Formats: sequence, structure tokens, C-alpha cells
Amino acid sequence: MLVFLDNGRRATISLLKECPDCAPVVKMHILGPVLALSVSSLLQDLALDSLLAFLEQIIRSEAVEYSDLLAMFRKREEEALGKHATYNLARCIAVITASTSAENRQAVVDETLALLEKVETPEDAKELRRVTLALLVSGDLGSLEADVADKLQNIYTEYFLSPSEDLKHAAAYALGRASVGNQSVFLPVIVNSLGEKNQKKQYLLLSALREYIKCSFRESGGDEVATSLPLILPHLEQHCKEAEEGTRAMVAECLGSLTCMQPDTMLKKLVEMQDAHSKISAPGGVLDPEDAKSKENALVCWTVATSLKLAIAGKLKPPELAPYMPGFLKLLQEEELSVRNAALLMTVSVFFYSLFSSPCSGN
Amino acid sequence: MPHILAPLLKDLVLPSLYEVADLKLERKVDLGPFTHKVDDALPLRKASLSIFATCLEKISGNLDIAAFMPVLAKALGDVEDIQLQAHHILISMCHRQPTYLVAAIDSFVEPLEKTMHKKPGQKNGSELERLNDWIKSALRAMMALSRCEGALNSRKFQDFYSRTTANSKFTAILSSLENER
Repeated sequence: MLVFLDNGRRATISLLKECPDCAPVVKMHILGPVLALSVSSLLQDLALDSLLAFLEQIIRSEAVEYSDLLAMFRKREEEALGKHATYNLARCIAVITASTSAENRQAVVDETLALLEKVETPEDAKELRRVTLALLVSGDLGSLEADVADKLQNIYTEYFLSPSEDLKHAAAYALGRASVGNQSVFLPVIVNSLGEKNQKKQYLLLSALREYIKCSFRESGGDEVATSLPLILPHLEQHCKEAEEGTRAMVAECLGSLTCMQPDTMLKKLVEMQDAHSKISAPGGVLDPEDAKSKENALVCWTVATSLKLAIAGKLKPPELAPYMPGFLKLLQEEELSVRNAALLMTVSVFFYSLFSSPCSGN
Repeated sequence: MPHILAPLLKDLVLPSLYEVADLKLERKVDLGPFTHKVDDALPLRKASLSIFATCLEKISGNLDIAAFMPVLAKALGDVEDIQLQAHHILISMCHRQPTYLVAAIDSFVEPLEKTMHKKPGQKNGSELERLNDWIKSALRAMMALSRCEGALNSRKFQDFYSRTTANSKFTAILSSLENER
């Protein structure tokens, strides 16, 4: 089904490029299904990219009036959509706004900022959805409009304190996406605040960082991330020994994504971390509660193994991993249960994702 | 080209897998009116068994299959989740590596039979259905074994097979298993 969708999208885009007169036909026949698809809970990956490319093209070719399409999407927002659909809808709105005229875009940016600067957490569910969507869209727009970066940065920090979990997470997501292309403004804010002793905020900042890393990789193949590695890495390393598993899992997601982008640097880094924290005493699998050093080391090793598991699932190439594998497999020998479990899951991941790859083919 | 783990399996992976397969760390959790037993090593045994399963499927040449047989026998007598995983491995091996199974067939009889005779007790509804699926899974494993060449040469297995197929409480399940084939 996804393949059909992608082919259909290509055909329609070509059609619009070559024959602008076809626009009314496209509008009549294709727009309806596209709108329905935009809020499908199954829409992701290739199908989502296809849809976004298609939307970009219908705006650029002026097959559909921007304001009409925007109104259609906004109407969708009134429905009680799930989280996944809301995030996709935000991507759709962002992509058409990015493709329209500067004047149209400015109007939407102004409107979005005006709404967000109130930093409200509405009680009404419909209003709450409107603010959530505005936050999500603002991230992508922020990455285009550098001059609003300062304002956005304040807005996101304020929303981290919102009583609504939806708004907090939407702000973290937006902060991550706004950082793409604006890393000099946003990244220092993220990493400096990471030093604060606020568990919940750390989690949000780390999820912003994850979004930034993933998104930047998609847009620019990770060159931008590569330059910011020296800024990000020490902070991630610092949080590898967080007691809270959720926070460490988020660190692992960041490290895993970075490993896919910069395998050489990152695999060396992970080896280094593992070696520096290899002394874990856990007779019978259990740590002595008094033994703070072993506990810290176990937490770091857990994060290393989990980062690798995620990197492998994220399509780290087996030939790149192969030379480091014997070192990482040492984690299987750790008696401490959580480390050993993470190491086993990493091994499962190696089997699962690299079964059909060989050093020859290089995938 | 071999899998990247193939050359490392014997020295760096398998020793830990064998160790984990034997690991059990039960602790009691006090839930007020009753206590609940939690086995912290269970997720590790599950992961280890699924690695074995993948090795058997993809790089069995690097695995000492005979040495795996005691692990499999033990897994057949473990908790429900692991048993189901073990039944699945056993059935796949019946097609790929039957001779190893037949050589160790006596050790599978007790755990399989024990599961088949699990009592429903007070269970009803979905719990009962789950128990029946579990028993069916053990019967399916036995049937697959019985079709391996030489399986019925084992006196112990042959007796087990005869008394199970003759037991009227399994007639319906066994005939539905026949239809699966």
C-alpha cells in the first residue's frame, strides 16, 4: 500500500510540474484522500514523507490555494485526534506554510506566536488541542524563521512548566525541531539547562535533543550534528548514570542516533565509557546498596548497551560495528542483572537487524 | 559472508547464554494480603532463549547443538512464557535438526507431560482458554517429536506418546492438531 502511495505521489507531482493545467483535476480527485490520510494513525516514514512532498508541490504549483488548504487542515484539528495524528497534522501544516509566499508565512508565524506567547494551558479540550498544534507547528517554522528564535526559546521554556503533559511534550518536540538550522541559538539553551537538577525538565530537554538529532539527520545527513557533537556529548555522558530509567533511556536514544550518524567517533566513545565503568561488583546479580561506585558503573553500562541496541535497530552498518563487537560482548559477562539484560537485548538486536547484511554488501 | 556474531559466538556469547539459562532470582513482593513471587532473571532467560533460537535458525553451524539440548529440556519445564518459546524452538528443530532432538528425547518427556496435565482449578473464561492453549502447545510439540525419524525407538517416549494419544481428554485437541497439518 505504501509503495502505491509513493508511486501515486510521484506521478501526481510530475503531473503538476509538467502540466499546471491539470491542477483542478488534482484538486478535485486527490485532495480528499490526502486530507483523510493526513490524520491516519498509520501514517509514518515513507508514506508521511511522500505526503509532505506532495503537499509541498501542490502549494508551489498553486494547484490549491494555501489559505484554503490551511483552513481544511485546521478543520481537522477540531476533531479529537490521537497524538500520532496530531503530530502528523502539524507536519502537514508546517510544510505547506514553508512552501507558500513569505507574506502568507509571516501571517501564520505572527498568529502562532500571538497564541503561544500567552503561555496558557486551556482547560477546554478543544482549545488545548489548538495550543498543542500551534506548539508543534512552531518548531518547524522556527527552524525557518531565525528571527523568532529568541521568542520561541522563551515560550518553550515556559511551557515546560505547564500542568499539561501534552503541552510539555509538544514544547520539547518543537524545541528540538526549531534547533535544526538554528543550533547556535537553541543548543546552548538545551545543554546548559541539562545541568539543572530537575528530573522532569531533564527528560524534556533530552527528548528535545533526540528530536533535534533525528530531524537534523533527516534534513542534512547529520553534518550539522557532527559539528555540535563536542557540545552535546559531554552532557549526554553526564546523564548516562541517571538513576531514573526513563531519563537514561532517552540518553540512550540520543546516543543511539548519534552512533548511526557518526559510527566511528561514537563507537569509540561508547567503548571508552564502557571501559571506564567496567568495575561492577554484583555477587549473585545484585548490587550492594552501599556500593555507589558499582551502582554508577552499572547504570552507565546499561546505557551503553541500550544505546547500541538502538543504534543497531536504527540501521548501524554491521561492518562498522564488527571490529567493536568483541569489546561490547564483554557486557554479557556482567553479573549485574540490568546490565546483563541490556547486553542480551543488544545481542538480540544484532541478530535481528543484521541477519541479511554482510560486510560485502555493506548494508 | 558470515554473520558478524558467528565467529564470536562460541567464546563470547554462548558461555553467558548457558549461565543465564540456569539463572533464577526469585524474591517475594509483599502486596498486603498476599505475597507475590517475582523472578528477576526471567527476562534474561527469555532473551537468552531467543538468541539460541536465532542461532539455530541462522548460524547453526557455529552452535554445539548437543550442548543446547539440556537447556531446551530445562526451558520446557520453566514458566509458561518460556515453555511456549521452547515448544516453538523444539518444533522448528524437528524440521531442521531432528537427530539432536531424538538423541535427547527422554529428557523432554517429563516436562511436556507435566504441562499436559496442568489442572484448571478455579480458572474460567480467558484464563482457562490460556491454559488450554498452553496444553495444546505441549501436545503440538509431542506430535512434532513423534514424527521425527527414530523418535518412537525410545521406550520412554513411546510409552508417553501411547498413553497421551489414548487419553480421552486429549482426543479433541489432538484431532484439531491433525487438521492444522
